[in-house]
Amino acid sequence: MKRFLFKSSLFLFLVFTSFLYISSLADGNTDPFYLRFTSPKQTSLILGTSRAAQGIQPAVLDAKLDEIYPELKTYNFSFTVVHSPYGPVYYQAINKKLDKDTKNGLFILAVDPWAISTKSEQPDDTTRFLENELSLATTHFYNLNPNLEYLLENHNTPLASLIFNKIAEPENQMILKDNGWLEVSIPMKSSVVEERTLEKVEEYKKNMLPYYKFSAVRLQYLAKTINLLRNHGDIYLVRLPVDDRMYALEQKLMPEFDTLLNKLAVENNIAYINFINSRKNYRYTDGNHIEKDSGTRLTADIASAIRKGKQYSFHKK
Amino acid sequence: MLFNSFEFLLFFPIVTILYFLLPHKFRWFHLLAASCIFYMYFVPVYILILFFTIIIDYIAGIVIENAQGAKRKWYLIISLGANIGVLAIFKYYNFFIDNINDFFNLTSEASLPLLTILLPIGLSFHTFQAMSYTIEVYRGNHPAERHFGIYSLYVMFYPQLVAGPIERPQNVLHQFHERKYFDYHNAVWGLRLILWGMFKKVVIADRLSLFTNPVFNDPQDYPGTTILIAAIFFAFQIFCDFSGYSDIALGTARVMGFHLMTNFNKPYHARSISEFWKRWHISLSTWFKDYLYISLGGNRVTLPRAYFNLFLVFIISGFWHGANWTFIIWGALHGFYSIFALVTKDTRNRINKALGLSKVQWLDNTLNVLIVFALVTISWIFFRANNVQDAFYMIQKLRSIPGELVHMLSTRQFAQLNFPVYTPYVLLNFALIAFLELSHVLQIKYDLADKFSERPGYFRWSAYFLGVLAIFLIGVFEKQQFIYFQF
Repeated sequence: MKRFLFKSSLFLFLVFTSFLYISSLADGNTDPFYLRFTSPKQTSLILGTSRAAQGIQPAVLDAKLDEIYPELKTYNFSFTVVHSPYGPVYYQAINKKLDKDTKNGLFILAVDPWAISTKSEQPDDTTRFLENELSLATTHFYNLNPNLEYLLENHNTPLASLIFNKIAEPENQMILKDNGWLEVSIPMKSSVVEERTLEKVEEYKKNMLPYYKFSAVRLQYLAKTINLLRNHGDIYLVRLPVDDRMYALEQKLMPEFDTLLNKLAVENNIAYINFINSRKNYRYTDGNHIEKDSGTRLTADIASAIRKGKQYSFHKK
Repeated sequence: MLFNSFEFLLFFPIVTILYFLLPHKFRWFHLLAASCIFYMYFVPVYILILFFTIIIDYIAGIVIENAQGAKRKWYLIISLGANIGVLAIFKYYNFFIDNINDFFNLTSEASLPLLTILLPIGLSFHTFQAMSYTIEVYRGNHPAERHFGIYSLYVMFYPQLVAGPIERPQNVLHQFHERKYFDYHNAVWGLRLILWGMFKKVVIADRLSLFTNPVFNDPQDYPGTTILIAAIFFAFQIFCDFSGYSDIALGTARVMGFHLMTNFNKPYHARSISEFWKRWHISLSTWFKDYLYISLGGNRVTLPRAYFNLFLVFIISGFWHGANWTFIIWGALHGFYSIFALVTKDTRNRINKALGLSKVQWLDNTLNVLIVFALVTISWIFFRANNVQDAFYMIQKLRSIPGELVHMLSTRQFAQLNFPVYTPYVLLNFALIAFLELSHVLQIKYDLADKFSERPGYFRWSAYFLGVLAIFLIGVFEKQQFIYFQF
């Protein structure tokens, strides 16, 4: 038995080492989320859904705000409207990603009506939240590199693709950067954009608007997230711009959204920066997500708003 | 816990190593405790249901053995009643209530209440295994087990607790009394079986499910050709899922020196429906044959009655699989296939002779295998479909395949197939199925397992390494539960 155990242990060691090596090949091309589960705990975070994941560029924030926040390194920890609406799952995830030793961090919380709504007749029943079955809930480890758990449990394509991607670099439209920003590069010819926008709006109209309802629990978790981050730095609620047609749908879902968020901001003594009224200043890939170059300008505008806010002492601790 | 989980990767070696380190007299307790932990990983409180039936069956076994006359029968009825009662409440109550409510068109206020409880995992398996014990004691084929712990272990032995094979007391009970020593040969065979089972489950079955699930869940979104591919994929998915689980169960037990019964024997190589049922889920089909079909009279009755018995057994077998009309129809289809085969046997033989097929054995066999596979695959559509309407829709959609193929080939527009996964993965699926069948053919022709054992050490270890690597590189690790767990 001893000899058998020795041989087996050697074999398992070889397997584990091989697997560890193959896993280390995973990068920003692997999938739109993986790298966010491998980076260490972070001192400054950008939170929200895919609008924030694509729309807010950490490198631009870091460059524009380095006078106010020296050595700022923001990290985009946004996912999708299904993975990371505000709620218990996202709250736990943020808790795991946050470097609790930080005191002068920067936290951008992107908000929109979908992020505080649930696709259910019982929008406050946390057992019905869709994100309960997805990677933020099923992954226990958020700061491991390579993250074997994530690769085994959440990565749908064969792991062999990690090897193939290294041999022949794929032409990906989506690349996840080391700072968590999801860079999307797709054709922006106006006819193509219009077609994508119509499709996206139709999808939201047919599959989301009839079923999503405002969730008081999610709003509570947004407030809870603010409370969590309050002792670690400055917090800003940001409503990102969208196409007119998407905005019209959001108005139908939650016409009182801005009032609610303004109230939340005042109660928590934080700023609510609302870009919805300047939505025409930006371009969108599909009416919902901001295009790359517009994202650079938007991020710069967010930084500018933050600088102004600091100048007028928005924040009182 | 699932076999294809990180927790089991830790659980199995710890339990096995401790098993061999412990003195023999404590081993039953160790295995029983491990089995309790294994079962309680799902819904802990349901272990009370298990112990409820264990206590009843344990007492019943002893009383049946000691009693005379009618008392023996009464205790058998109590034991069977307790097991079937548990099944009826947890698995079938809602089905009957739903159908009563629908039949009488009862409104939500007037409708009979449903139970909101989860189905205890493996319920159908361990109740049937428990029932086989009391029946065998009643028939005098096996003495009652006096050791409560050993009897509990018979019901709860973790490798086969949740999805079989459904064992007989003659095969298994004595093994729990025997002193087991670590045997290198058993360990190697067991681990090989586990590796092969994992490959079938994680690489083949779960990869096929990425295609079949979207198609079966929304069949109206797919053309007939894709539905046919999904049906074929599902045939192999359920085989690999279930036989993979069985292999892992057998391998896990074998490492510790326990021999469980083979549950699958290349079922898609069957040349008739009756042969299919001698190769598929052997432990269940023999259970139904020995305890239901023969008890009803089997074929020792008039022909119409024999056909009725056969049909009834298949209906009940379908119902065993799930509380849904789709499973009942699946069972009924197999009943119909079996009866049709019996009724038309002479006619078919005459046709074969007239066509000269009986002289070309390989052609005759191949045709029979393909026909049986086609019939079984059609029945699997009912088995997997979410409801009867979907199943009939899918069957009906198959008629449009010729037109679709002509259109696609003439216009070269294959995007209409609307595959739910990337086309390379569809090709990968076909390649995996081809690999599986090739291994079956080689096993028949060359006794692959023995030939493999004779190869040099570097060859075997390289093969193990590649097998494990293949599981990691091509496998699907999202928590895909074994299909038969829901039974």
